[in-house]
Amino acid sequence: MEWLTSLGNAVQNPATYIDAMTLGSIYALIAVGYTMVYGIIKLINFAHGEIIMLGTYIGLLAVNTLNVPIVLAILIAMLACAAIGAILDWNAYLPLRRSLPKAEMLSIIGLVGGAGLLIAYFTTGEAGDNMATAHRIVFGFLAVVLLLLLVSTLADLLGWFGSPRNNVKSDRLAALITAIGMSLCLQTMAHLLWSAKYESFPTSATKIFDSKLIAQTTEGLVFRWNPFGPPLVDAVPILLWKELVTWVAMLVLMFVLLVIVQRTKIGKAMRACALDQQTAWLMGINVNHVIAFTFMIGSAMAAVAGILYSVKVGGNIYPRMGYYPGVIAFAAAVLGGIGNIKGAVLGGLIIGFTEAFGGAVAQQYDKAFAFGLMVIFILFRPWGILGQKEAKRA
Amino acid sequence: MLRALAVVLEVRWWTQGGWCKRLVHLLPLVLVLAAPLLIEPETSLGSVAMDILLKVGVFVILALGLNVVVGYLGLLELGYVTFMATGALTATLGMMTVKTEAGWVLPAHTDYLPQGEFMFDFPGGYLVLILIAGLFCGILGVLRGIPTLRLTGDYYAIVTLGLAEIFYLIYRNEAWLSGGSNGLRLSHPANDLTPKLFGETLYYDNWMLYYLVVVVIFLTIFVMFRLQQSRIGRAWAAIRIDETAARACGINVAWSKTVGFGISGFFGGVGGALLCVTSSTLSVNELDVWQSIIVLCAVVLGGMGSIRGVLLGTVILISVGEFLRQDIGGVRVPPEARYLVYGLLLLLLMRFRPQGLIPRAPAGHPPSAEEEEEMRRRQTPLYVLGEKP
Repeated sequence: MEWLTSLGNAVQNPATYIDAMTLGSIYALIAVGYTMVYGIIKLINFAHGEIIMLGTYIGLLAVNTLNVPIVLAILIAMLACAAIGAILDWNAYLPLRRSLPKAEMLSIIGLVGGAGLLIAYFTTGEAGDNMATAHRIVFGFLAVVLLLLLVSTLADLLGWFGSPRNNVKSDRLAALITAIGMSLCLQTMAHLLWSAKYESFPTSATKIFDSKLIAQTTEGLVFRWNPFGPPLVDAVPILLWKELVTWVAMLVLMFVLLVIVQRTKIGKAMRACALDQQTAWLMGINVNHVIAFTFMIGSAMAAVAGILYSVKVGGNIYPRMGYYPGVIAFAAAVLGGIGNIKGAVLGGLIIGFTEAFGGAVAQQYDKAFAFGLMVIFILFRPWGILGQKEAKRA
Repeated sequence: MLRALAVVLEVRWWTQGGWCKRLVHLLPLVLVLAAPLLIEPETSLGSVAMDILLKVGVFVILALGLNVVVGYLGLLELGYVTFMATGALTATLGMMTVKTEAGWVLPAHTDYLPQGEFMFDFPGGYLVLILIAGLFCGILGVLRGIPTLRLTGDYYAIVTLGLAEIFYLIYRNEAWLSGGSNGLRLSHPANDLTPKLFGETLYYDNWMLYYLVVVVIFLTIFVMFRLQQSRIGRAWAAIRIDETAARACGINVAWSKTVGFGISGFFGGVGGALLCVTSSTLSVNELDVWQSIIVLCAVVLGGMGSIRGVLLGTVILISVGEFLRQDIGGVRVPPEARYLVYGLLLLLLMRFRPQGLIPRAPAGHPPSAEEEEEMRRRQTPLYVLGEKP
């Protein structure tokens, strides 16, 4: 009964609870993005994991090139990811919901051209002499194509291409496969741009986050409320600042989100779209704008989660970093009841505890416990803990 | 007898229609059979071509197997890699099993092999192993399928993904089973374990493996055609279109789906068993969930539920992907580029041609005059009954 002993140790160790809470908060932040998008358009946004990754890379770039403090980097990443989320919706999922041939053509040229030029840019040849010029030309083209993509989505949004017709050909399987394709695309683009090597935030940037808030010394527990003071040496850390920051960030963002959804006009529109899109259209709500807004909020949350995740584990920034947190956070969303924001938080915390205690029992299988819990829930209670039971859930 | 054989082997593909249609159907067959005349595996270009051919061949089997669930049953399967990995592991471990004085030993260490008699060293032992791997994965498919019978759409996809991740973690972490991150090595300095068939070694530079893969492909295509037109194939189509209506028509939905999962798993296992001999090392780390996405991409590109479409889609997708990995004329495309191509293909297909390159025959309409004549000629039971003696 070796595993029982290690489980007993984990139960008695406060570090496990702190770890579980931190992981759970991060998963809750990610799960909110899944649950809101699923609540409105009934789509598992597979590319959400890639938005986590992009947000973390943007934060890293901001810290490395602009030398901003990490809190500001989180804000920059949130804004950038909100934009990425909206562009993702307009270029991948919106064309499946309605047809607008001119806008589609421009966005296709942007996508294919961008990908082709990206590949061409990183293709190396024998003759290295003309490569620099070629790279400059290619990079120029890439910029033009990206500009085209942005302009086309903007023009589409402002209605310059005329009014769309509802697309009847698409179904939910097509949307899901599109999401998988988008996920592959974004992941590979990050791979090409930043290579597959593991990166981390510089220690100078995360110094405050890594400093101890509560520590165990020979004289007992020590509280240190000033993270800028001299470091505590010879003290066993109990609670680090980054863990407290993660919990507080989760709580604050969830509160803000609940206020947005329950108390504002756009929140009311979101709830209306989740109930019935056709009726929402008839009530004068532009459903496509509401969906784009949902993507923006979810993506901003994902950026926060990504940066906090990589600060928590101390590094781990690479192109596939978003995959596991993404899928596990989807498990959390299912667990709490998909479409339900409070459920996402609850599910995130439950999954966090499962992973932390499962990891204490069998280190390599921490993720398997989370996946197993998800499978059991989908099989026996697909509507989740807080969700409403529906007649048919496809 | 001869006529029945002709019907069974779909000879009409090559004997009917205009010359253009015949050529389209005949050319790939001739090319596949005459490949040894065109490619010399000794040259560098030839060995690359052999590598691509074998990979395409194995993925054709995998894609046809996946097509049962994705195309016929209409469920999005994301965990097909489980069957590939399980099949490959079963075959590799079977080849490595040794009989010593202490009994049967199943070694998974890369640098240690006990001396003794190999279990599957007899002539044709590898064929037995392929069959065992297939059956094992078929049973696994049934066992995995039974709990998921009620699920459709997104929930089926995410459950298969979750289970595939659990299997992946198990295979990756249990080093005694899969060799861990080092993988299992078949061609071993002490004991050359490369499987043999009719005295020839099965390896990627050898034509025996190529013909083995070709034979398995033909068998798979044959089985798929028969299945498509059989009672269970029509039951699958009915379930895909409307499960409730199918149940109301007296179709045993649970049984039909379970059989489908089993057949799909069987071909996944066979494909995995063939995949493990194309390279000398089996590394379970490489068989992650993205491998099943590649197979899915091939099925979607060709057309879900259409055999010819799946064949075409796999050939295009895998050969393009493998070409992008090679050094062509001194120019080196980054190897990740193929994933970008796969992703873009999925995006564009879903937007412009969600039915795939060669869509499946539309279901649920009355037979056209031509089809009716064909059915009458082939003495389909319905028409045999209706005809006057």
